[in-house]
Amino acid sequence: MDVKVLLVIMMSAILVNNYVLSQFLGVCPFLGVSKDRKNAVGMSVAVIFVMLLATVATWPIQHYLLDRYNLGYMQTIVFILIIATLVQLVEIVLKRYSPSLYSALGVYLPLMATNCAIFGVTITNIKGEMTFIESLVNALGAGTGFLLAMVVFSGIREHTENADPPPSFKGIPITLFSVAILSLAFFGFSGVIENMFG
Amino acid sequence: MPILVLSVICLIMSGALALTNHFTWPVVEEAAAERAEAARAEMIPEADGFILLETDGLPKTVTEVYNTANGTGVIFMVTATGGYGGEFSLIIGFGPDGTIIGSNVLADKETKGFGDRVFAAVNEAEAKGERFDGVAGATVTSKAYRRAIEDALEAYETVKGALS
Amino acid sequence: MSRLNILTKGFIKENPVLIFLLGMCPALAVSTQVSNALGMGAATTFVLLGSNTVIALLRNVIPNKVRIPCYIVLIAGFVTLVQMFTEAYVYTLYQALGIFLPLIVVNCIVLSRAEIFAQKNTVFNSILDAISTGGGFTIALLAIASIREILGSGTWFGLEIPVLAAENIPIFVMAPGGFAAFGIIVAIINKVSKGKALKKKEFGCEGCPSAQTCVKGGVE
Repeated sequence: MDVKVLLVIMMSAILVNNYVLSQFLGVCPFLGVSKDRKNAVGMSVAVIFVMLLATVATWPIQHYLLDRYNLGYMQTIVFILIIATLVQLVEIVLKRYSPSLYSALGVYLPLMATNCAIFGVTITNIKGEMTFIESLVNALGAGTGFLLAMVVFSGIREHTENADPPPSFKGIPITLFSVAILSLAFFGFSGVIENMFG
Repeated sequence: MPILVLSVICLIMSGALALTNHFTWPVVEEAAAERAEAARAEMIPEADGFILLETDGLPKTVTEVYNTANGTGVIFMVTATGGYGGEFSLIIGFGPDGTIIGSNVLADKETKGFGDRVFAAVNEAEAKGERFDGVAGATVTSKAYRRAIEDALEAYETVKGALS
Repeated sequence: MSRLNILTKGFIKENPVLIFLLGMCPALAVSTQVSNALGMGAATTFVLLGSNTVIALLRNVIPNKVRIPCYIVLIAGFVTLVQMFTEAYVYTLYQALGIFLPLIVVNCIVLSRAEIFAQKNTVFNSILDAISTGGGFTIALLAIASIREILGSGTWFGLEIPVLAAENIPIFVMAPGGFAAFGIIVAIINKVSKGKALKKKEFGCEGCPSAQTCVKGGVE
């Protein structure tokens, strides 16, 4: 197993191909929840958790079931059902065995089933023809990237909330412009990662 | 009862998809074959037809080898691995004298932009007859590309005897 | 609600993207070119037509308890059909939309129309609603894509625009430009309607019709 390859996958998923800021996956929860830092962190942790679980569940099914029996066309239906079921299961398990974790993450779990970042990760793993380990690293990286974007942006939003932009830009437009600038900042990472592990 | 309805809906939907796939899949495959054929024709325009060579002992990244009917060159289909987004497929053409006449990307899963820059740089280096050493800021992709070309060169040595 | 009203409301007055701020991921991701935006709009409209029709047809058959999973299966089915057809007949579009084609399944616009409209209305009205919502989604994508393609590549629908083609601003076709272009459009809507048009003053789950669906779907 080449550690360097894994590091590159991880770092590029976090910084260069950041799911929210450069791939446009999970924009809705990102804009909706980043207003409050505590929620932002809770939501992101739940995202990382479900992304990893979804990868563990979907990768073997794609490779040992769908590919083997030429059922590639069932991918969308099967994956979305797996994710929806998984979310329900996690909720039931957490409720019963870990009430403290449930109270921290529980509210975000139902939102995961229709979170395109999660579905996106599982599909990217397959499309990129990654191995199981690479897929897990990619999922972890994507989730961590989501967390990073969330935390950074919740900090920025505290300032834009108190700013006084022209009336037409109040609220949503100024938020979108802040994301654009943050996305621009992440753009700068694109040359760095590959050279880092050259 | 509710579970029954859900199961029936799942079954009917799967059936409908299987049926549609039965009709669209041949079209998909035919179109893919046509695109590959077009890419080969673009690489060696003088060729009057391509023949798939069955050869053992090639590097395992080389998926297919095509000889030309009129001896105007050889074409290798190579899968480059270790890039940024997994794998990408390359088509590499050799002239009758054994020099690389061109290379192109077929299915590109690399990050858009970077990959393109690397591919442009490789083609430019080839046109000048230079060795391609990489593009600043895209080392991993560059290396994957260079390895693919090296594999193609190795494969050419293997099949050389079987040509003509 | 009159039929004419159902058919027209989604285009401008209740535009799913520009007014309700739903389905932002595909709206931002595929709006680099007008042609891709049109393709995505058509694909999503097809899925909406299919899911709205079938869900309205089965509205008395599907038990309330499992309705969300049923809707998801139906929507995923229609998404897969679109994937198959585009891969077979419009391969360039299939490549251009990439991962965002299967992602139509998690586009909250589609699920929210099933939950808000199709499960309570007749088949005919649901078809009108699908045309209206899909049309509105397409219009929004075209608007964002026009800004991005004209400023970013100096072209519109692939046609070169004399002066801009030489003086383009490539950042507009990249990720930051997507957010900025969307911000510009929302600001223009605010200006024109004097801040009254937007149904949501802030991002958040409160205003999102599928938030209720998500929450309900999870708790059962």
